[in-house]
Amino acid sequence: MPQLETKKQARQSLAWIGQAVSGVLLFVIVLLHLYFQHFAAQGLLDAGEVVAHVSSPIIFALEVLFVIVVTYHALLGIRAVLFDLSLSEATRRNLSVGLTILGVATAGYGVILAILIRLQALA
Amino acid sequence: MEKPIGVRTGGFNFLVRRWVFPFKRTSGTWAFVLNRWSGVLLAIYLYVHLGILTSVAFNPDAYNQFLGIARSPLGLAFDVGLILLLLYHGLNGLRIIYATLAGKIEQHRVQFWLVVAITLLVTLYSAVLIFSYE
Repeated sequence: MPQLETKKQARQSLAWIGQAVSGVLLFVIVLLHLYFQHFAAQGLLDAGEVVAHVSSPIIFALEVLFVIVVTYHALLGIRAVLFDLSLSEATRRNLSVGLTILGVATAGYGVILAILIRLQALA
Repeated sequence: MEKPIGVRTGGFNFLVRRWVFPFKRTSGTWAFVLNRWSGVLLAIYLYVHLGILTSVAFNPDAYNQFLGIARSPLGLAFDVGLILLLLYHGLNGLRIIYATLAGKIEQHRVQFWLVVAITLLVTLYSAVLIFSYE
């Protein structure tokens, strides 16, 4: 079935591009996150300092973007690792659906956490 | 002769052997295995990090108590290990993108050792900074 093979290859290429683009974006975001949250602060922040930090709209936007991109990249990576284990097409499909649900839940929870922490700063 | 990276042959046992025992193989296989292991560990850490941040939102006192452990030498060593994983995974990912897009896959051995060298140097520098802060 050459057509199916082409579609499968197209999906794999798309996943590779998604992983590469999110990876480059993540590399920049992680460096900024580490710099602002740890190195510029010269050590680990306590709870009050974390709240004050996230009160900045730029840091808040950076953290929200971070949690979305890192979740996408991590779960796409886990999917690639599991797909290497000679799984059937049906198992691969179910796995993709399961990881998508997990990804949406994880990113959603991360964004809610960032909002809750920011609300503490604004209160 | 070693199988090219990314070619799936030999089924589950072959893959597990390649993942867990990458010895007597080329730097290409080492780069692949280290990239996978660092990726899996960082994915697990994502959930640990979200768990820790949950306490900032709901129980700041518990978070501040946790900082006592995080600021201990063992906690700081964990941070250094995390930076090692982040740097290797990130730089190796950039290497793969560069090698693929620029058609420089034949030079993967030099690129791999360059990634390892930069990772170790920056991790060492970060370790000095991290231990000097606390």
